[in-house]
Amino acid sequence: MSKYKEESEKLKKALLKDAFPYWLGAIFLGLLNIVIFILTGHGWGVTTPFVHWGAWVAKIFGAHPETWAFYQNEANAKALAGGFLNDGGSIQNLGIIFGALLAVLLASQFRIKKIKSGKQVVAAILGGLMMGYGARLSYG
Amino acid sequence: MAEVHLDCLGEACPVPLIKTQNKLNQLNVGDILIVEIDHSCAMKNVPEWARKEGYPVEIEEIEEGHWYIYIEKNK
Amino acid sequence: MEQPQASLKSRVHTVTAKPSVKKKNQLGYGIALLAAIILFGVFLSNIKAPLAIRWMLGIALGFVLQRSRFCFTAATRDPFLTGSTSLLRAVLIAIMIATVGFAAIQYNAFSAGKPVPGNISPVGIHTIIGGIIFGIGAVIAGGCASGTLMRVGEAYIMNMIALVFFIAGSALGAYHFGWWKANVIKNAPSIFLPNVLGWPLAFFGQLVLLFALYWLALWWDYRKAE
Repeated sequence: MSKYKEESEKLKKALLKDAFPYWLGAIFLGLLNIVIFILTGHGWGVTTPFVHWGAWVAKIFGAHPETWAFYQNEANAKALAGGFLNDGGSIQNLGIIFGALLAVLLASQFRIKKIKSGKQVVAAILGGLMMGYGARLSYG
Repeated sequence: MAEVHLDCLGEACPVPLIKTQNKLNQLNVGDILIVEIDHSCAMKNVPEWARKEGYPVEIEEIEEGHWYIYIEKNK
Repeated sequence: MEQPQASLKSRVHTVTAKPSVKKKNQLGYGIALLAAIILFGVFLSNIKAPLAIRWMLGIALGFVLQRSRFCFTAATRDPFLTGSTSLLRAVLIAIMIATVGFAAIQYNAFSAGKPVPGNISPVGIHTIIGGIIFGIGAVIAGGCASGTLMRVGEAYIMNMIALVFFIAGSALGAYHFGWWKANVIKNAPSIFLPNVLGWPLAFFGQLVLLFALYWLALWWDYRKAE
């Protein structure tokens, strides 16, 4: 195998397959956060769009989220009214899901991880609720 | 020198690491523990812990998203 | 001179599953997904260009998170559970880098007389309560906000369930937010450090503090190793 082929195989593996060291991930995340700050005027946030998603679902069931104190804030109200495809935060969150999926497929590491026990379901439900509520109290 | 299997398939973080730590404590010196996982975090944090403890570690990818971690209790 | 030890793998006889010779190569699916991602980006840019950028940022975030197995939950949990601070130290590095960038942007706006960007939220008892509830939730659900999204993409059914209830909990929190605001948060101060300490002290002070925490975390991780 020529030296070039050897090195290019190594690079391909490093780019597509091998796990990045934590510190490298940290550098990328820090830089991405700065880009987000420049473009949106605030840092990386994941939990606020979850409120909109929940509010949109609540609307389907007849609730009026636009009356909630949370939505008296102008930015939040605007996002609620604009819908999913108009909300940058929602799109970004969707991107995170597909970015992770892309990473595992390119590394040929995709595998569906099914539920192993009832305990996991309880943990997921309780944990999810607590995270959603706790995030709101501490402002995301 | 025993070979002990630890099935951690389908376990949520941090269960594979905790189970590995407990199992390794029960083994005798010279035994090899084979941990079977499908959690991407575990394929990083289990070897990291084992190496920190000073044990020889090897990782083998069996198929997509499915790994064996070999840890030798050499002390 | 010591003989090189035979690999652990080769010394093991009881393992039945061997790496399948025809390991499925999912690269093709990955490339197909990449094409779909780009197409969706083009679609978004026709609605509003900024949306396409947020989409690509999200893709980049998800990609980096998964490839580095980054986990904010583990960063705060492992120092207590396993004594490891490698993720915590990585998080501190990320915060330090962001601090530099944020400060530059904020100071730039400040010195030009423009409003300073950034979310400065009231801090008080609600922050502590919310943080504790969130922390416990994240550890039992096996992932925090970004971790949940990342694992949904990796096809962990458990985290998909967690996401559904995360959304429900968020809506509930927003629904109750009025009560919290009126009864707990109302007098909490919103502290922007440069206003309190002045820019130089706030900036360098934060970096020094983060670096000190980094050193502390390093010590915590390795203090018991022989």
